[in-house]
Amino acid sequence: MISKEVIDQGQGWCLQASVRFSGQLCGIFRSVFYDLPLRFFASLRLCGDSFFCALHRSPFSRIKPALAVVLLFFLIAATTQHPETVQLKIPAGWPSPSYDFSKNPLTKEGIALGRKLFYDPILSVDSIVSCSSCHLSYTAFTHVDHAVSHGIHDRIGTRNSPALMNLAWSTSFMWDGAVNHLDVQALAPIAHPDEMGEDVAHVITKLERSSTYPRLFRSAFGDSTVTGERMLKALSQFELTLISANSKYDRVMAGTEKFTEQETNGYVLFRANCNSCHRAPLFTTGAFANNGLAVDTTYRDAGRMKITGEPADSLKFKIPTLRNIEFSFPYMHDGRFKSLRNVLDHYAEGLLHSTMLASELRDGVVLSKDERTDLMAFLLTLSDREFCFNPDHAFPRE
Amino acid sequence: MRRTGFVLMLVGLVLQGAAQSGTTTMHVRFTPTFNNGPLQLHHAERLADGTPVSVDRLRFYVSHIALHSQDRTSFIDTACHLIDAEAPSALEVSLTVPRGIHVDSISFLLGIDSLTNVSGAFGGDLDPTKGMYWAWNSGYINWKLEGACAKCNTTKNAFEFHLGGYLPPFFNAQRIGFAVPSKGAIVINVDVAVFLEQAKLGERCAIMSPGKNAVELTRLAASVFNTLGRDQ
Repeated sequence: MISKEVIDQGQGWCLQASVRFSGQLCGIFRSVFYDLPLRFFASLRLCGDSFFCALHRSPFSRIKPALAVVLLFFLIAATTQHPETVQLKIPAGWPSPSYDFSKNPLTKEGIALGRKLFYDPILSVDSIVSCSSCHLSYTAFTHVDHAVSHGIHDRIGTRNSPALMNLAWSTSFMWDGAVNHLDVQALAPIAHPDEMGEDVAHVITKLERSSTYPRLFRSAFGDSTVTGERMLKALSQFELTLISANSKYDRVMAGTEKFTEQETNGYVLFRANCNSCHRAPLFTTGAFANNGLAVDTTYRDAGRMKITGEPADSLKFKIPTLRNIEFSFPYMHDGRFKSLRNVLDHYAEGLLHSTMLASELRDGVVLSKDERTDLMAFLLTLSDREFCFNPDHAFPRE
Repeated sequence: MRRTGFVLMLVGLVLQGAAQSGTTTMHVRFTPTFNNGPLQLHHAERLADGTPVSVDRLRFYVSHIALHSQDRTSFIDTACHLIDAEAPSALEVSLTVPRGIHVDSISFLLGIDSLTNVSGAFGGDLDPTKGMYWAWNSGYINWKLEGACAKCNTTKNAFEFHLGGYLPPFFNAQRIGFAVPSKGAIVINVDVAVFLEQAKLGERCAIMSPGKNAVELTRLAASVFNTLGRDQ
């Protein structure tokens, strides 16, 4: 499910996501209606005869009414499907995830439900826009070639849709960090009038009425009750599996491939000029920074300041990961740069100096045109095609 | 085997009974009022100066209820409860407390603590579908009061107070506490009229984001909680 080559080299630790079966067989109930009949069946098999003959001849024949009840419960227990635990494999050498898996243990059924929800326009008010409308798996879950995305009724938003990957390590979400936890991220696009324009309580009503979802909720959570919490946690489960860690860069670091000379030059330039904010292995620190962009006069987007109210946060935006940067054009929070070349030209020639400018950029970034080309060659080694074309991430065909 | 099962069940029931025998249920009832009468939603009322006003929605969270006896905390309830003027069943909180507990004062948080605010999705009263969670900026709304007042220069004279926020310096939830008599259900009045009189409706009719105004108004909201004692 997750990229296969790099991650499991014996060093990566596994998350033992334990499965809970609330509301199902437990304690005394389990021992009376599950374990005892199980032993009884074992004893029947020893008779070497047909089931009913065995029943009559067995010492249990006097207690047939009780036996019927016991068998009924046994059948119910046997037909109850338990969610299958999924162990998320953490790439070797990566830090521990920030996401608390103990509060939302991953299961095969939970991930499948989240994946179906992710691709289902039922989340939007007009049943046209789904999460994948702006987060397409083949382009590292971003809206390729759109400076800002469009939602219901072709309404245009104000921000560039971020690429989704390695979210278990993210501590804040959205360009301004407005969302503080992966579980509650989906609430923002669902409710935004320019995105899905829907009321989350109405989404739950629609899911309850659907012919498929109650069954899927039962598979994932033990009963068919549809709640906001469960819907959000299922979406998180799917999104948490989106781990990109098998780019050429990763294979070079693992010693199985080599950079070209140009890529090596680019890597040296990267470490000298970019690494302090776009730090490996995630290629972001997750912090917010003012990277010298002039304010867009149409959007007048103040970034992080809108959330904190701090003037010092003016025009600060989340430092994005550079993984799969090849696919996530156009760039910056408002998609103002169409190409990687434009981005590097900005850092080398276009920085707007202000008191809020990130300290790392105060002395400017010196890169010749040739060096920018080499740096681009390195950035392209961060593309993870296996991640983009992983069938487990794509639209779930039934 | 039937006997074994029966005995097992009996033992289970006895154990369960024993575990519960040391506890009793204590009720904390919130009564929304307008001046001294019960609050009626969608009902024309008047402020002290005669300005027409009506309240359409009152919802708030109560969490971390603590019962005290002689300045010592004797019981803490860790749950968060959504109180909704629209739903009579959502006006009362039932606490399972030790039998014979002595209580002379109660305290609670009007709103949700910051840890809960940063810990993802929850169910029950905290489910984001309850209309008390901000989508655009993570965090719970601690107090939601909506209605209309002639003082509001807004569409349909509407006022909307969605008060919340957990980030310093604008941590919003407010601790409330007062003495209560020693017997019966604890009844707490929430006088919306006092809030509306003092909220300066001529100046602000819509506060829906965390900040200075929200903290100021939640402090005001906390001040309109009072108890007339306990219902015998």
